[in-house]
Parts: sequence; C-alpha cells; structure tokens
Amino acid sequence: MENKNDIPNEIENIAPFLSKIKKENHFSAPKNYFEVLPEVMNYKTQNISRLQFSFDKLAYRFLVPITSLVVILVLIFNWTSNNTETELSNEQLAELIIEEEYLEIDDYLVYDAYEEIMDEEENEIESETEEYINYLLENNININLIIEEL
Amino acid sequence: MLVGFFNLQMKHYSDDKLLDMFRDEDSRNYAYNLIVRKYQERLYWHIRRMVIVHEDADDVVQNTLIKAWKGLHKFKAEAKLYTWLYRIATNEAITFLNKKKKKYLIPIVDVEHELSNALESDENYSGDEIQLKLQKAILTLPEKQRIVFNMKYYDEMKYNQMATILETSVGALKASYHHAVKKIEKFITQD
Repeated sequence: MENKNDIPNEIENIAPFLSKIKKENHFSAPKNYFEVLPEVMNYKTQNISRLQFSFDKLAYRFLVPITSLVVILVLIFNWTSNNTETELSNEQLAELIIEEEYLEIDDYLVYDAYEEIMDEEENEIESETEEYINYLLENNININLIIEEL
Repeated sequence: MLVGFFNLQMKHYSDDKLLDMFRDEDSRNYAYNLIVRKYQERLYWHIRRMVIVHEDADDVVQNTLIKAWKGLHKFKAEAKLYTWLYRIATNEAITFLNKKKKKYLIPIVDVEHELSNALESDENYSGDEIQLKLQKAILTLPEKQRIVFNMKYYDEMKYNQMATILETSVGALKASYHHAVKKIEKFITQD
C-alpha cells in the first residue's frame, strides 16, 4: 500500500537535489479570484440552461407543427398521385385486348374500343372517298368513262 | 462572510449528497455552486501548473466546470467526484495546449519554450531562482509525463488514483514518474 512518505523517499534515492527543494506553490491567482469564479460559473450555466430551454420551447411551438404539416402534405401528394387514372389510347387498349392475360377488360369496354376504331376507319375511308371525288371534279374527269374502261 | 457560509456548507455535505441535490432541479444550482467552491482551487492549480499563465488557466478551468455542469446528471458514483473532475480538467488542459500548438503552427518544444518565457515574466509567479529552474525543468517534459509528475509531486496522488484519471496502468505511471524525476534532476543540476 502506498504511503505519502514514500514519495519523498522515492525522490531522495534517484534525485537527491530535487528532494532538497522545498515543495512550494509560487504561482498566485488574482485577488478574490476564487470568490468570483463560482458566481461567474453560476451566470454561465444559467445561460446554458436558458438557451436549452429556448430551443425546447422553439421546438415545441414551431418545429413540431411545421414538421407535422410537411408530413401531411407529402402524404396527400402521394395519395393523389396514386389515385390519378391514366387513359389508354385505342391502340394500347387493342393491345391489352389481345394480351388479355395481363388485364381483364369488361365486354362493353371491348365493344366501345372496337366501335371507336371502326368509326375512325370509316371516317378515314370517307375522307379518302371525298378526296377522290374532289380530284375527279377538279380535273373534270368523267368517272363513268373510267368504269367503262375497267 | 458569504464565503465562510459556503465553506461550512461544503464541509457538511458529502459528494453523494451534493450529487443528489444536483439531480433535483430545485436544488441544482445551489449544489453546483457548492461543488465549484469545493473543488475549484485544486482544479485550478492542477491546470495552472500545466498552462502556466493565469488567463489561460482561467479559461480552461471555466471550460472544465461547464463540462462538469453538462455531465453531472450522467455521472455515476462508480468513480469519485474529484477523480472525474480532475480527468476533465486534465483533458481540457491537454486540448488547450494542443490548440495552442496548432494555432501558431509551432512544434511542442517551442510551446514549452514560450511557456518558460511566460513563467519568467509572469507577475503572478514569485519563486526564487531555483524554483524557477525547477518549473522550467518540468516544462521540458513531454505533456503526459508533465501531468504525471505534477500529480505525483505536487498533488501527492496515489498511483491507483492517477491510473483511474489517466486511464493508464500503475506500472506505466511509475516508470513515467521515475523518468521524469531523473530528467528534472539532470536539468536542475546542470549549469
């Protein structure tokens, strides 16, 4: 077990000159330093507490509501994005009909799709026929003559 | 008179009691004040011997006590309160000296030379020639060795306590102190 007397003995053996030097504290602190220091620390620690308290208050009053609002808005945005219906074009619909295994479509939807396609084709044919007629008329060509030749 | 009142209170309360009072929000400030008054001098002188200049010691001791304030609620009484405070003070002093080295981009030897010059011109130092030489000798030691020497020589700490504070083995501390003493002896005996 260590003994306080061992310390000077220890030095005496290995450092005889050092062991003869008086162990004194020749440093000094300013007057009343140790009376003032506790008050200084009291002031500084109060400021730390106040800052911490202010931050907690700020967090509770502002950050929590703002964060909640942002989260709600993000959720609403995601929900509305998922619920948006995308319309298929007639070609896409036709492909889906062919590849029925990927999508089940009601019969009436199929009929509607075909009807649209047929209507479009008819419109295309009609417009082509009109073009021919217009061409013949503009060029003053007698269609009966063409039919006779055929 | 106020100091006397506080001194009485310090003697009356044990560390455990002070810690219990600190944990209670109503008595926290009062307990902290008592703890500061109880340990401020020991902490200050330990730091002062490291950093030499009073203004620097003042900064470091305040940083130490602020860290103590922040960490006291987590302090577990496995170690003694003073040991814990002493460790904070030691680390803060080392941090301060390291920052000083980096600030001026000077190697350790020059920092110690700077401290040695500060010691000579310090009006808060009143030692005679041999005492001054002793302090300069101590400043030639590497940082950690200087801490070990100061703790053993001036604070007369036991190796076990030093081992807890510095987180080093007793054997390493004994060797470090032995070497420090021999170096100092050589320095002060040379012309």
